[in-house]
Amino acid sequence: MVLEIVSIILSALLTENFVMVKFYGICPFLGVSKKVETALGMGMAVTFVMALASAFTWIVNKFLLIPFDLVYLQTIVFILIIAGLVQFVEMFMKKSMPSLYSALGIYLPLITTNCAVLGVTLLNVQNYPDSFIYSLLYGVFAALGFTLAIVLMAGIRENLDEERVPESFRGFPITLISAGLMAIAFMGFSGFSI
Amino acid sequence: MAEEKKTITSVFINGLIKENPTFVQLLGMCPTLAVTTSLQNGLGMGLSATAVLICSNMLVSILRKIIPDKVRIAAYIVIIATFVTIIQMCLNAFLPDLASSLGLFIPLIVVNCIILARAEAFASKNNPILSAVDGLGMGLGFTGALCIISAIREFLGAGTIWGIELYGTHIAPATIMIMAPGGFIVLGLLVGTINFIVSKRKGDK
Amino acid sequence: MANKIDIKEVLKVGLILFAITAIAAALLAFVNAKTEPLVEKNALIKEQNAMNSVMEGAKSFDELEITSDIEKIATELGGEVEKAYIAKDASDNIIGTCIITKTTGYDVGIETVTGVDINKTVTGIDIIAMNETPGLGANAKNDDFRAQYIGKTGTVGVSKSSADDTNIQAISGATKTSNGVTNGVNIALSVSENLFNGGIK
Repeated sequence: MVLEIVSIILSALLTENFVMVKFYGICPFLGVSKKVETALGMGMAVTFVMALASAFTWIVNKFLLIPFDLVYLQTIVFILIIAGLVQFVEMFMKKSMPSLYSALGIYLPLITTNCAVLGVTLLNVQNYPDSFIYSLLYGVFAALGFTLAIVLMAGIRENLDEERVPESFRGFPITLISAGLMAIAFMGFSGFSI
Repeated sequence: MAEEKKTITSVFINGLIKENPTFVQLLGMCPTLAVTTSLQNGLGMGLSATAVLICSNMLVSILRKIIPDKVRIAAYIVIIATFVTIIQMCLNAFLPDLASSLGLFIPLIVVNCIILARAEAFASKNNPILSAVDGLGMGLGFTGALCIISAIREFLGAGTIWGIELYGTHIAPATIMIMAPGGFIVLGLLVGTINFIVSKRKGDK
Repeated sequence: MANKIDIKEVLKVGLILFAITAIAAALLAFVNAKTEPLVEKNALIKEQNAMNSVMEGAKSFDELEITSDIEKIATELGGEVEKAYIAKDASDNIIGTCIITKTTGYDVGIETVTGVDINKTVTGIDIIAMNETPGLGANAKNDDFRAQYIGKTGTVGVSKSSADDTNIQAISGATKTSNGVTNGVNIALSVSENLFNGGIK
């Protein structure tokens, strides 16, 4: 049990990092990683939504889709839940946590189309259909893994701005190449096993 | 820019080359990087996305006067998710091998930003025929890009093209190219090179 | 802008959205009903082909019930038994078992078919499904790797350096995948032993 939990945490965070190994959530990873501050904001917003989404979709899948034999509606139901959650979180934050909203607000609409969120919910029902705790845990730590990657990337990009990169490689191309080098570093974790 | 008259050809070429979703607009990066480990996968993913794009563009355009403005995004998502699920079912039924190698990235076509972006930016403002053509152009642009990337990665990383052994028995291929880092690096170099060619051309004029 | 929410407007919007969703769900139910039998048929054919390739000379396969004993063996070895079959030749003699296991390598969900003959020796293995890394773990599908298991008996081990009578050589860079596949083979071996000792019908 404990071993299983530690192994879920480690694999979600490092060995199967969502961005660097599994390629989920590349759009925000490349789009919102110009500054460490905004990257952290995005990461937090994603973690929040992903935790909620993992919990909700697991419940819906277990108690609604499977008993009524509607598993083929999974994709459509999950994406609607995510879109709904994002809307709800946005409204809730606007009213009760205006300071947090002004910090994270602009990222929230982007999360609906972040494939990391839909990805984690689909992975959860595939891998942990029977365990709510594992699903939630995997959701939270996969999101933290995403945050880790995007914040590290932002740190690199802040420094890249001052480098003399060839004109046509400025911006996107050099970001991708740096990400590739980061991914090589993340491969180093892949030997880990418990 | 002056308002150009939109013809079928101009819309098609626009999607295929001028505003190529992958190399110019840099949309839909997740599948671009994740499934381009072999040419078969790249082509399969590209064509699946194209089919969804054409259907969803057409339907969104037909329904553009009925869908209320406030809930349009939700409506688009439902439409897109429906087509994606249909494609997923068909792939499972008729091409099970491709379906299993694309795996989770088939349902994830739902959140491919290209499709939602085209529904919002083009299909909701144009007639169904033009929208379908736009979907076809953008889809083929995406497919073409995936094919280029996956061919390069497969050639360098596995020593094969379309599964046909080219040099792998003599020289060990650089496996890293079909793993995660290779995806980032190949795409980075390609976009950089395209930028370089484009800027050269502009300089010449 | 009016402050009051126009109930009529909300109703109308809700109704349209509901209609779209309802049509979508109906359409999906229809397509699903059409494709599901095909999907199942494909899976069966794939399974059948895999079993034929690992168990030469088999004419028919009878599916066995997964008993709690089988489940216990699999759980102890850290995997699952998906299906168990008895292979029979043309004259209806039992020639071995085909066990389909699900184990974890680098990623979850390696589905392996292992053929075991009545001497409790592996006759061959095939991999039906896996999510391992292309270029590394996915090489477990290669003939060279799979052929290593043929003739193994008892418990198979994994060696990083070289293969011998009891060990197979791991795919370089993919020890976890090699362990996962081997795990499945070992489960199949113990389950088959249990079945043979219990006198299968």
